[in-house]
Amino acid sequence: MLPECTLLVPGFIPLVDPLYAAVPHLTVLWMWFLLPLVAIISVVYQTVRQPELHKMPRAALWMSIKILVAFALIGIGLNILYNLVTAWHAAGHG
Amino acid sequence: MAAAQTSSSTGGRDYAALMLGWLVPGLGHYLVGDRKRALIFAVAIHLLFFTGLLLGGVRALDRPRQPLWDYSQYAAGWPTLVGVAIRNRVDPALVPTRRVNSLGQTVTQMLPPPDAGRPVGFAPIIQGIATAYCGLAGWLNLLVLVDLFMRVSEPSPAVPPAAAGGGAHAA
Repeated sequence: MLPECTLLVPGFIPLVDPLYAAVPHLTVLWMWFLLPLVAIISVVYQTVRQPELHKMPRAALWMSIKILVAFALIGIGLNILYNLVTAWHAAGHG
Repeated sequence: MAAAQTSSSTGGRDYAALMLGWLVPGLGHYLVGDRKRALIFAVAIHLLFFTGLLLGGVRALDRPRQPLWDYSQYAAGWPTLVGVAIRNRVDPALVPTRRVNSLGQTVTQMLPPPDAGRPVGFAPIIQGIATAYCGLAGWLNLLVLVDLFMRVSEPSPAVPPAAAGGGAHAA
């Protein structure tokens, strides 16, 4: 199943107009855009840090995994905190 | 004296490498001779920036009331300069437009007028991600410039810093 072709949207110019104007269901995929962001940040950072360039890919991959795990743990922690606070307020303590 | 002349003769080129490294991400490292890293920096930073531009359009740049992202986007160099210039030409007049968001709330957002002939959308999350992509490209270019500055400010190992007058080289 192909998404809506952006070329069929009248007046749409890539890089000038937002992609979601032509592909509306793009908004439900927002969390996936964290992956390339983390990967590129890791690649650039490890390219700066690694004295030997052949070690950069593995170091960047490991750094990406650590960042994503940290994101997940922070998200879980905040979710737990949110549920606790809302339950505390619902109990009439707030 | 020869050492001082050598260091001063390369100082201008080093500063030029820093300036050009800001303007074109990766070019600074290319000019100092580290071409593999220059290629990686150039591809990665440009890819990140243009992905953000693809997601959010030129409206991802220089957003009002977001100075942190604005300043960091300008650190990415020529893509931001060109993108803002294009934005000012094709998207000059935004008007307050009342829209209903995904939560069913009626909110007001600055968008091109409906008769502008351009497709408009309302996806603040994707727009925010696009702005962050472009801003983080600028932050990464700053990191690259710091690395470049550390490289060019190191004394050259081939020239002893304590050598004076070049008497040993005169013979």
